Amino acid sequence: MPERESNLDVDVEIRDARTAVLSVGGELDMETAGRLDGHLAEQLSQGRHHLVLDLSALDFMDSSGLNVLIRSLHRAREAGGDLYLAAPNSAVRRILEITGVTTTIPPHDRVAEALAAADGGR
Amino acid sequence: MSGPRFRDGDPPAGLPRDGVLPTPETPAGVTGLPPADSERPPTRDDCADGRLAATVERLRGEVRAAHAAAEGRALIELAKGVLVERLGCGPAQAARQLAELADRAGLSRLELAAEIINQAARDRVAEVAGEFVRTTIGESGTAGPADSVAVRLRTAESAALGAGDTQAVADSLLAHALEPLGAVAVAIWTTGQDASLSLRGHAGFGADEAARWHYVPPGVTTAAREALTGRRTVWYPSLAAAGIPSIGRARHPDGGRVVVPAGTGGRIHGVLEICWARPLDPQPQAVERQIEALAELCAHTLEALPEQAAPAHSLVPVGDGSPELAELSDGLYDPALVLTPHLDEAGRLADFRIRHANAHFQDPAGRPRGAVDGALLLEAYPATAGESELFERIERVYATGEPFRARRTRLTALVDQVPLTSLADISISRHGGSVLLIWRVEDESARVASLLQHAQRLGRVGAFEEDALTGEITWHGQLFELFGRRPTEAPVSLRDLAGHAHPDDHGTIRHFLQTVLHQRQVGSAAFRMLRRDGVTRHIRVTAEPALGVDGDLETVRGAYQDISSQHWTEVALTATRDQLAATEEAAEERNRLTLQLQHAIMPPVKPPLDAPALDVAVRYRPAETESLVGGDWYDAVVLPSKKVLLCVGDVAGHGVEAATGMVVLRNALRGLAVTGAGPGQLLSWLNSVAHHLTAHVTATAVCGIFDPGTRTLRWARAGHLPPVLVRGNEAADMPLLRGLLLGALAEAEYEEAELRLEPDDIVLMYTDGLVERRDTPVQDSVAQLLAVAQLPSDSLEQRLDQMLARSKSDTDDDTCVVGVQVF
Repeated sequence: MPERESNLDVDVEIRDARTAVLSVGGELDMETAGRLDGHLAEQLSQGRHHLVLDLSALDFMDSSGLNVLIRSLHRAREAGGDLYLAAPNSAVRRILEITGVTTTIPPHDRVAEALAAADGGR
Repeated sequence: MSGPRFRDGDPPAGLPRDGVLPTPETPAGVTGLPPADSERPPTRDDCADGRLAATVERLRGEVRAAHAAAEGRALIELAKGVLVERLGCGPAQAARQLAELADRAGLSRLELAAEIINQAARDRVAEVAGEFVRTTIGESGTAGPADSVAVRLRTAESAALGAGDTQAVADSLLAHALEPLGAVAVAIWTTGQDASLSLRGHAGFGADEAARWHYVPPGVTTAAREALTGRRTVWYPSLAAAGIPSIGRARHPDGGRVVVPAGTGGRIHGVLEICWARPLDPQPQAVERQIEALAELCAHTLEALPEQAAPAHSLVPVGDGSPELAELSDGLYDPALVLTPHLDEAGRLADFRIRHANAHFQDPAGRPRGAVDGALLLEAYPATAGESELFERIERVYATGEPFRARRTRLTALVDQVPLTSLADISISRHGGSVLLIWRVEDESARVASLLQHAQRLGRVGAFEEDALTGEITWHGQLFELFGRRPTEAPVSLRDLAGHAHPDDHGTIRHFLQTVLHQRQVGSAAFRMLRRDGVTRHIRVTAEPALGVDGDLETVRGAYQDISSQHWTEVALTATRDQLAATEEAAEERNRLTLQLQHAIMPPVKPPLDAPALDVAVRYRPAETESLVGGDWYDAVVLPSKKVLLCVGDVAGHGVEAATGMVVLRNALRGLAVTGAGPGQLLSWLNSVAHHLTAHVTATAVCGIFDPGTRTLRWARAGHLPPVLVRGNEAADMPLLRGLLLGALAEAEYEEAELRLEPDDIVLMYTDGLVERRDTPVQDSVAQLLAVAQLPSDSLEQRLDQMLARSKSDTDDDTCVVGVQVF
């Protein structure tokens, strides 16, 4: 098995005291999931409980990545917030569908819609 | 004023106010007789050296003769000389004038001569004599003793001046000036360049005692030395009581002593020591002054001695500097100043003139050298007189000749009126009439050197140097301590090093010596040093050979470093590494365990399942990377109801935790399945198990219950890829029933579907290890899988192998495939 490096880019944009948009790009897998988890936990600890994940640049996600989404969803909801998924590509959307996550976190087509949902969730 | 004034404000008895002698105010014949009411007595430089000494010189022959016949005659001759000069007459006329005046004044010619000289000289002797007269007149009302004092002193002086050597001066002093004071002996010491004392003249001690005391080395404390170093007159009521040795103590142990520094212009040329036979009572101030005057007299004599370098004590020191000293100072690598004394009008030391600032001189205030060169010390550096006491030290060195050296002395310089303090090593020494002041400011490089020393100490490094020719070894710093040797012991040579090392390290040292001494290359070795005190130190030695021009080995330089602490650090590191390796082994062990667990629970090839109307085949392929062996599972078991439970699952993550989760979920499902509940219900329960019983575990699974009686398959899925149905030559994935992955929510419901199977239908359940690709959407991968799954094959087993073989997965996940075929 050739060595390969997983790349994950996470950009955090703080919208307001309660909302952050995390743009996730690259590959979200066993190696990189911890990093996204760290970013999400950081935002939650700062009181930003409404977390919008912009998945438009995400190419790949495995069960570990999915696990992070589920865990963060629980934490956000426990804190009175929520986790919003926006603009997954078709492959990622398929994964979300297969795993049934779409029934729990219906993904939004665009970030703006996710943000609107986040505002409505106040 | 019409007559001479012999003493200030005190007309002498018997001398006419309207004498023949011209008054200072009289223009005629006045060629320099100082005004009687001038504020200060004129210095000897003006009078004694100028005219009096010239006269003395002229009359020297006569004075010698007079000395033989009558000491007083010299005085008379002197007085005659004065008159000759003042009156512009010849000696005979002067003699007549003297006799005439003496008669008129009712004095002896000798007394008058002393008076005349006092008047002319206006020096210390005159002062003392005058004072003595006033005191005694006040006490007794007679002038006799006073006059005799003047005569005595002048006699002594003239004898001293006439004397060819200091010994004669001593004789004269004792005879004329000191015996009347009750003294029995006198010694005149001169100070050497090194602050030693030499006996230059003595009277009353005896030749043997004088021979014993001819030289007192520097640093030996005697009565005379006390006067020199203290720069003051010291009175000893009893020498024995003072417990201080000096010449003649054996003969007059209880006798009183006085020692007086004899100096001119701030420089002490010698010490006058006067000895009494009996203990000495406190003396009247007049006597003290008289003795100090005698000391001054001595000083002039000593100063004039040919052995003594002529000091520069003149008010006009131009040309008397010390070019040799300036030359010398320019050769020094430290800043230096050549100073010469600067006297005030009274002949007292007032300051030092900076005669030369050497090549390395740098003014702390940043002024050009020219601004300092030639200036007065106190004017250029007012701060020297302040707290640093530098001026006082220079003064003292100049006076005593005793050099002063001190390290890290605080120096203050005024820079723009701001006092700047620096630490400096100071050296002050007297050379002839000059003082050499050298200082070395503790600068950066010195500090770096000092830092280096500390660094060596802290680093436990000690340098060495070994001369290959002479075998001479120099050890620096703490090598003795490093080797556990006393500094008085000989250093250990490189060749003997093995004798101080652990036998196991002898080879290392031999190799090191071979490198350095024979191959002549830089060498280094680490060895265990066995010290005599039983301590073992780990030492690293590094050395380099220094070769001469002919290529011969000249010197070996290097350093030893105590690396014991580093050694133990390394030992600790090694231990950590070992532990790490052990951890790695443990990890491998864990991975093996995981795999064994997997295999134990799910043999890669399932033994034939005793299920009616159903052929079951399974394949489990663990991840190639052992640590990635994870949580895939399958199950195929005949339930008590004779229905068959078929299941494939995948716990997120890898390793022991995933495998443990897998075991929990698999066994839980088996147990739950016994209840006869449908697959939707089973997954709902399994979700609760995953959510509540295992921490942070999510899993996906597909669960089917096959009823052989009806050939129906009821199934549900939890976030898992739906099964594939191969019917005939076509493969299709089953619908994506609603069902969240396990453990995501506390409660979840799972959609169920039922499929009636036909004979030869094949149902495939698999984990995503079979299809997952990073560069391909899962739907595409599934499509490819379907294409492979529908390929014809001889058996179910072969079909599964075919699917595994053609798997395009690139995630090195473990992979599970369960296939069932109905017949």
